[in-house]
Amino acid sequence: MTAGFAEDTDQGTEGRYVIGVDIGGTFTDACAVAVADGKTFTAKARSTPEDLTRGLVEALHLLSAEVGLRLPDLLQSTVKFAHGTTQTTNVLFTWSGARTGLITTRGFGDEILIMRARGRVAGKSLAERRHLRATDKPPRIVEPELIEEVNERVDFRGRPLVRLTEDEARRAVGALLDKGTESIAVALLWSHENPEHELLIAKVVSEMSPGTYVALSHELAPVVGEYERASTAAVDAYVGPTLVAYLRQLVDILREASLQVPLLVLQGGGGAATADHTVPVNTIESGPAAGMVAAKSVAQSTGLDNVIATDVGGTTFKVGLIVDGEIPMARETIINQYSLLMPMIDVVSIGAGGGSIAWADDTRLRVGPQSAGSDPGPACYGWGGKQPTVTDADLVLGFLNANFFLGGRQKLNRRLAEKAIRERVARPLFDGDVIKAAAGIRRVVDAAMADLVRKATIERGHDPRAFLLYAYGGAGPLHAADYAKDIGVGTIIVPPEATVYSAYGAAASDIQHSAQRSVRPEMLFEESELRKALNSLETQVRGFLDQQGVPTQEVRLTYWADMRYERQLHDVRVPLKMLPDDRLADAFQSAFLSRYGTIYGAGAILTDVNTQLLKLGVEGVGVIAKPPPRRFELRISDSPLVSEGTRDIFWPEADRWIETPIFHGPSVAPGAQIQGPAVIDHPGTTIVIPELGAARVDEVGNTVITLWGG
Amino acid sequence: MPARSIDPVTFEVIWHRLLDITEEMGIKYMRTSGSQILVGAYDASTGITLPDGQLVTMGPYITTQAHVLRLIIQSVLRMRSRPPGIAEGDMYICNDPYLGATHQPDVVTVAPVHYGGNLHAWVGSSGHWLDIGGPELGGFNMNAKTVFDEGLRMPPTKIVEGGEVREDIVELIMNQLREPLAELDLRGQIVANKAGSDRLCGLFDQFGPVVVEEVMRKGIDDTEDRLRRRLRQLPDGVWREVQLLDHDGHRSNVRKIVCTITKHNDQLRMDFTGSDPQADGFANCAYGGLRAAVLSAVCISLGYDMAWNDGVARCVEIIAPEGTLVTAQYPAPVSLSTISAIILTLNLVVRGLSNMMLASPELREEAMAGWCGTSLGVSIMGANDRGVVSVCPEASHFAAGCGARTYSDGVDTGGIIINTTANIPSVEATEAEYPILYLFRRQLSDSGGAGKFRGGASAGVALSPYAAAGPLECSFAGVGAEVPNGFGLAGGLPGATARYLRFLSAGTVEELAATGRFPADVAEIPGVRQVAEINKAHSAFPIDSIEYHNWQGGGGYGDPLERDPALVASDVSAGIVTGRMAKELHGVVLQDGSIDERSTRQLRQRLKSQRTQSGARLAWDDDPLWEASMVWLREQDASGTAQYADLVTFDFNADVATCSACNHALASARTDFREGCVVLETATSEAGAVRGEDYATGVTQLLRFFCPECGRQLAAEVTADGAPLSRFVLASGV
Repeated sequence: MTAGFAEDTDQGTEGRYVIGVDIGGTFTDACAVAVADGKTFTAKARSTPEDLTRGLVEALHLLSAEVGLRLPDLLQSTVKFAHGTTQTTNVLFTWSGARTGLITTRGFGDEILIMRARGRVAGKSLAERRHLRATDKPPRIVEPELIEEVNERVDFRGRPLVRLTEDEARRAVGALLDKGTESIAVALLWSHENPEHELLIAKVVSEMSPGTYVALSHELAPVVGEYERASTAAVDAYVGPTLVAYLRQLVDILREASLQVPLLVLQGGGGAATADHTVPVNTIESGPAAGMVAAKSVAQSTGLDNVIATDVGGTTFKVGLIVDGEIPMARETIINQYSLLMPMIDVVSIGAGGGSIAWADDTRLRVGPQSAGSDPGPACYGWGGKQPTVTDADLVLGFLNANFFLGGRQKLNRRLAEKAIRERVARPLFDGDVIKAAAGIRRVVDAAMADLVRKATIERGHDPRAFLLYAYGGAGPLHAADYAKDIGVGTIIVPPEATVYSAYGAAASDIQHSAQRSVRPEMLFEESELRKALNSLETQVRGFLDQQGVPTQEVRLTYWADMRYERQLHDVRVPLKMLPDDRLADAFQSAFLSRYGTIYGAGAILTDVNTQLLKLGVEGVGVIAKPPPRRFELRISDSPLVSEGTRDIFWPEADRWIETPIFHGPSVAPGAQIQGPAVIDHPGTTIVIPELGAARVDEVGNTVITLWGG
Repeated sequence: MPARSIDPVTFEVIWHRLLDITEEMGIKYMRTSGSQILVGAYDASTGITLPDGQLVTMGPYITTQAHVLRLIIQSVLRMRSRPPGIAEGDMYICNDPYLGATHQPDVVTVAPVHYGGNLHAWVGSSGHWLDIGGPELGGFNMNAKTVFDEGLRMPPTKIVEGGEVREDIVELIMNQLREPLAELDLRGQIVANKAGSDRLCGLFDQFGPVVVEEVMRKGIDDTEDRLRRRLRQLPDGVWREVQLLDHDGHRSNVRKIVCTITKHNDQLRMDFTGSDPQADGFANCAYGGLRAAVLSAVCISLGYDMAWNDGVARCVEIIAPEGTLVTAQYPAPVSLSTISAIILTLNLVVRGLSNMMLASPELREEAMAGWCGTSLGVSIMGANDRGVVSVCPEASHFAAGCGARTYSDGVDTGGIIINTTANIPSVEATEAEYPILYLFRRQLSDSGGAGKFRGGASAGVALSPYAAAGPLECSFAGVGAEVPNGFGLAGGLPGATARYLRFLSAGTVEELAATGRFPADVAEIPGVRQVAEINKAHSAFPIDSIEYHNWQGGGGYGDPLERDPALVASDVSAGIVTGRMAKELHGVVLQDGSIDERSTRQLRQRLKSQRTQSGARLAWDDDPLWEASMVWLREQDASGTAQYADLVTFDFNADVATCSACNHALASARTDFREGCVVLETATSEAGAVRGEDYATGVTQLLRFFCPECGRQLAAEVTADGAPLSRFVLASGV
């Protein structure tokens, strides 16, 4: 099963491709990387929310045209096809998931509503939490009338006190189905110690309503904490039906179109799995995770350790960090104030992007969080949108070229943009001045983005001035100079695949899987039991990696244990790179003490308190061979590049129109230098270089913008 | 070096780093601790102060825990500056309520931060320990008559010397404690302070101690400036607020905390004259607790968008005669203070400031009705079937009802007001650790106060001993079982009271399991129902009994008859409001869950006209205390108009306060408008179920004030025999 590209294929690497596809709220991005030389092709199509596969197929057609092949030929020569979708995230942010029911233990139906009281402030910054009056619990994923309690109870040792009868399970499932439930989450007390009752309910659902999606809490997160398990299961059930139907359809379409390799789906932890093995809740935030994977791979190839990665798409603005070369992971993720017990890449986001709608809130100008998405899209697209968006403002101000958006394939209508801004924003707030209104929209959205970057860096104790900022996503390079300057970042890097970065990250991903289980604390001292448990987790992980049927170069395993001092309530995750031949208990205990000392200081180590084992886990990465990074020859010139034309642009910062030099992206070669103010029109994005800034293109094709002063 | 020399970006970076350090200290403390109180309920805080103890930043979690740092550090400086003196690498531990701590279980450890041989800051962490010694495990001694009957009381004691932990002192402390796990709380504080101190020194390395200290001072100045600006947006005037403390520790005994708040220009004065004398039970608080309560309330109500630090203290003058419930003198017992006198005082101030904000067009939206007005200390003690003895601090009650807003309902089971990071332990985590089984944990119907926007619901739990070696014991400490302290605002009604029930001979878990069904609601619990006594030590918790308790709900906002019937209907269908409350208090008639609009209209009309039939007015007796506070105000040259919520319009030129709904002239604009209202005096239970009826001693009443003309409910409050009324008078229009 383990092999690189060269060994795996008959014809070597020539004519072979790795494909990544990412579906965002507004556009579907595709990217193909030639295995032989790293040459990269990109394409962008409009997302089609009513049937996402149409936009995806359209993007693939455009991509194959870029490569110069027919689509079936491209797919036949594809050695890896990975796909990231923001679909589940969008379902959550727009609250458009399945009508979800929850089955839980009698007496505990309110746990999902009580949310351990923390739901009111979960995921909020300290500053937000201190504004008590303005805090609320989130909208409900499960309405109270769709919570069914079943008569059953298992104790903390997994012993059933009241057994769930099949009749009782049928009653509860029937009641939910009668109320039009489309998807069912099951979260019973102590199900991770004894899953029988949850499994019985799953069986009953499959008999009574075979198509209904079921999420079982013990399968998703076999750990203590009834609220977190229920929340994870409810979110999975909420997004599940949409994702499952979509993947099923997509696999068929791709097979029909001659794809020979399995479809890989990106997960929120940054790894991939085949469609059959994809757990819907795991794909939440997989788009941003893919972007971070791409950022990390680019950062590695250019030797950078500290990067703020920012992604401005149509609907959301996302920020992640690379600190000392690593992407921080979160064990528990909070999405819309709900807890998800899924390891995910730590990315924060807000609803702000090119499609964000500007609106008058009494006397205040607000932008977002609602987005025009791809339907109806910004007013200037002419798809019927009446509400002004950030893209409309960028067009009116002159930042966007009406005739070269998406390389000219999407004409932008300035008149429609002006009309929308005039009616909804300029008249109520700016005495009808459309330019002032557009400039206001741009400033508001840029300030919101700067705040989020600040939150992701300064508020976590990182000085943003020690970081470089990556700007990607269609609208990232268009706004980066403003939000970067605001927080004191001096260098912005726009990668060559900026507009399809998540797609590029999908192409760069590896297969990942992890398995974990809660254990009895005494097991630490039962050498053979302990070894057996770890081996069985390892077998599970290796089995999963094998089942994906994807050739991998090597499998990297990490073993870990969650440990703590006896009766302490917070545990420490202790990693082991390999299993020692000596007693495991000694290895884990000494690893615990050293880890504990590192985190809390040597003074915190207790001598006469026992250590306890809580959970064991194994993480596996099946490394897929990567194409080499592409290098360009630099054509260095002493003088800055001369522009091919100018455009009148209203710069909000300068508060005036400036006749701004314009460059045609494809003709700006590596080595070129450009003095600000200037704009580079690329087919998929527009790079803005402010008055106090300059740009150059480096040997891997990055556009590097340096900001000064101001 | 003047503050102006620091560029804004440097200020932002250092300032946010200070906030981050404080937050990291809090997180480290939590992660090291072994206490369900700390980790499950986040009963702790951390902070950074100037060399003199002025608070610069505070961490997440419990607000009052951070506000004690200043007094504690001042005590350390006063008492420990003589040789051997305060040196680099030292830490001091202190929990003496008469030296600044709130109560003995809240232990504070502070560390001076030296750099280049000079003291540049302090860091500190404060938290509720699992045990603090004394006659009772857990630290609450309900029988205490003096502080000597309570836990270990430590003056500032050098627990770390030159970077080395004084193990002799650690052992001295641990020898007084039954619960060895409390050592994790102690070590956690040292870990947190060490982390804070190291990171501060890193900051000194990077920017120099002078610049960092300047940023700290500027951070305090900024908060002061911003709070003063906010105060200027509020009307001047006098607000008197009263809160009732219904249990002194030994007996049900309704006493009052009185505060007269004078707001003039950009300064607040809080005068606690008129509060009842200190009790001989443990429900008092000492000055440190009072100060923490007042400052926390000002932070929450007015400082919601500012850094919380001692900049707030500069805008607030506290006047408090010695020897009252809120200024208890040594050696009065105070171990219940955080969940009695302190939280009540905090609520009292929040109410005064909310009434103040309702008269400001810019800040009206920020006003809140009362959150769950008290808190509880529920401990279940005993051995599990492996013989391990433990104390379970059952902390579900931190999922309390929040107060209604001027535009929406209070959050259901959203947390208590003094904790910015609400949290309760999961059922499973508690069952894994302690010999009990939960039968249910449910939101409590009708527990949110009625109003145009209702208060947030609280909840209740039922527990049974399980996997225990034998019978357990239960202690139930707290106040608020008789008086509903979650006050309503602008005519809204108060939320539910706390309640503690026992069901004897209900059957063991095994016996109940054998019936094939556990009770899943309070009405289903079998056995002999007893209303259990509050603040009684060592109640037996036999293995065949069930313990049930619920806690206070949030107060409502506005006249309940003005609530959107659709909201009432959806509350009823979700079970959060009963049909009875819907009908009697909100005047909504439902037929099979849907609104009968005609009957609703008729019922609401009838209820409104009934309100004013009695025509009763309250006798506003001579009140020397009030008159004294009015002297200043009467000298003001009142003019212009003011608007209190959408209820009362004040015209100072015409000297009249009118009902904003019907323009009826209620009273002079220079008196409390309630003087012109029809009043209805009833038992508190008229505000809904579980409003103190199980604990009534007959001294409390619910007062509702109506416009005599249109019957609109303009105010509601809970009062007691002999307690003065809440009232306010504005000094001028806004």
